[in-house]
Amino acid sequence: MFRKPHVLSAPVAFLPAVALVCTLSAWNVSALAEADTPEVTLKRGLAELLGSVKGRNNANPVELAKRLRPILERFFNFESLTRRALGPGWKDLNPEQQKKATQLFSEIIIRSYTSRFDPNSEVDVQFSRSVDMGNGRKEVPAVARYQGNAVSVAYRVEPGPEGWRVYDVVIEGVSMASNYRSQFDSIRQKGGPAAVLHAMEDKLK
Amino acid sequence: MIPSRFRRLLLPCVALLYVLEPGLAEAADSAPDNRVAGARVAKPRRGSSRPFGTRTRRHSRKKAHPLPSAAVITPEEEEIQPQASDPLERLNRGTFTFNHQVYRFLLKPLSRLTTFLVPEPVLDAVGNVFENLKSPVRISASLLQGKGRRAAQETGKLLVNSTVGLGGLWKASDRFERLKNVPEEDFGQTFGVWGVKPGPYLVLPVLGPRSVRDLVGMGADVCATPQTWVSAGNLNVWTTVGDNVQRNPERMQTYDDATKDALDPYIAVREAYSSYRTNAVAR
Repeated sequence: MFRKPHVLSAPVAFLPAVALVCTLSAWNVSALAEADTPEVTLKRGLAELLGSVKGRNNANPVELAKRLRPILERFFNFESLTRRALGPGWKDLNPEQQKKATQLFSEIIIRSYTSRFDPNSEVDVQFSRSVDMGNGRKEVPAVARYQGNAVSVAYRVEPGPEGWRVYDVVIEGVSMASNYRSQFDSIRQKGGPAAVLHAMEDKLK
Repeated sequence: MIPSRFRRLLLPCVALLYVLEPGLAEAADSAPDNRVAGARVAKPRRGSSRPFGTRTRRHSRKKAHPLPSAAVITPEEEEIQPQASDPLERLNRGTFTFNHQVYRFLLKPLSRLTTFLVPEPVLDAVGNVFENLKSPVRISASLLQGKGRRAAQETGKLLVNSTVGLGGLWKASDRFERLKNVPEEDFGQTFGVWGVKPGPYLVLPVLGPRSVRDLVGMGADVCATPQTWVSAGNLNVWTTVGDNVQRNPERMQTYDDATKDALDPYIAVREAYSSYRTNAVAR
């Protein structure tokens, strides 16, 4: 005799499938949520940076800067960093000068980092949970261990169309944007906005 | 069971609390947005969920307004950090130029010679001994700042490194997670925690940047160092010379890092020094 299926049997049969779908979607949601955090973006950026220089023991700083620039440009908002560094002086520049200032300043920062970077040394960066800074910006505290020293670093990030991007780096309480702003202010007060561009060009010569 | 007359009073009281509380909650909520990174966060008072210093006027029913320019502020308009007070800039710049030449022609060659002649592990071991000798400064500065935990950590480091670490030659305390990377304290920081302002920025010959507060603090550090009070031979002089020779390569590296990519090295060092010390006081 044909046995009528129990009303619960069909859903029960689907339970493992439902559970699997739920697990997968939960995993996807958590993966997406995780992908959006600044910590994950920074970890990914750092891994990419270190991966690109691995095994290049004899790379000179200029070659290293060329290699790292495209990666740094994806994770750093150089325009935002330049605007913060120039402060009120930014508005004194015309759009063409602003573009030039961004290009020159990013070159100084990239050269600065690559000249100190030794591809042979192990770098270990432990990121902590980000802190909200208001206006959508966040600060990610970290401890970087490099060449036997532990240094406290804070990455300040802001959201953009392509995800989180760094707009300032604070090392042991010293903000890069703040330090350069003091220098730019002094140059601007003495020689006007054009002097700022000249100073950057001279530095890169 | 609540008596009926109290029950009648209860409802208006709850309603009153409901009206007053949003104002207090908003004040507490808005605090992180205005907080500067690195600034100390107010801890809640015992028995209260409200951080100390966030109390608002009790009868203010007005909704807290957001900062007028918070939403429209552009990156270049952001207030970043006040610059160091430098009324003696002309004199300081002169000393800075003098120091630069001293570093260039004397201390950097000495640094190269030290690292060439002394193997790195030996230099590290000597550095560990000097660091260990300064433990009383860090312990007393921590205690005077009310940082009991940090004082305990420093005491633990002193005990472990003096015994297991063979008088401080080996930094055995690094094997213990709780004794690793303990932020260093000194008397300049202690004065800062007590509310003393840094005062004018100074550039001292050879010694380099200091604030007036840190200069006084440096004197207190010397007084709290045990070998200052030991009259056996010239122990104090030799330990000071040894310590400075050992630390010289690191100092020269720090100086290079701060000035190499600077557009105005004097300002770069001044601002880096004052930000670093502000951060050291706050942490």
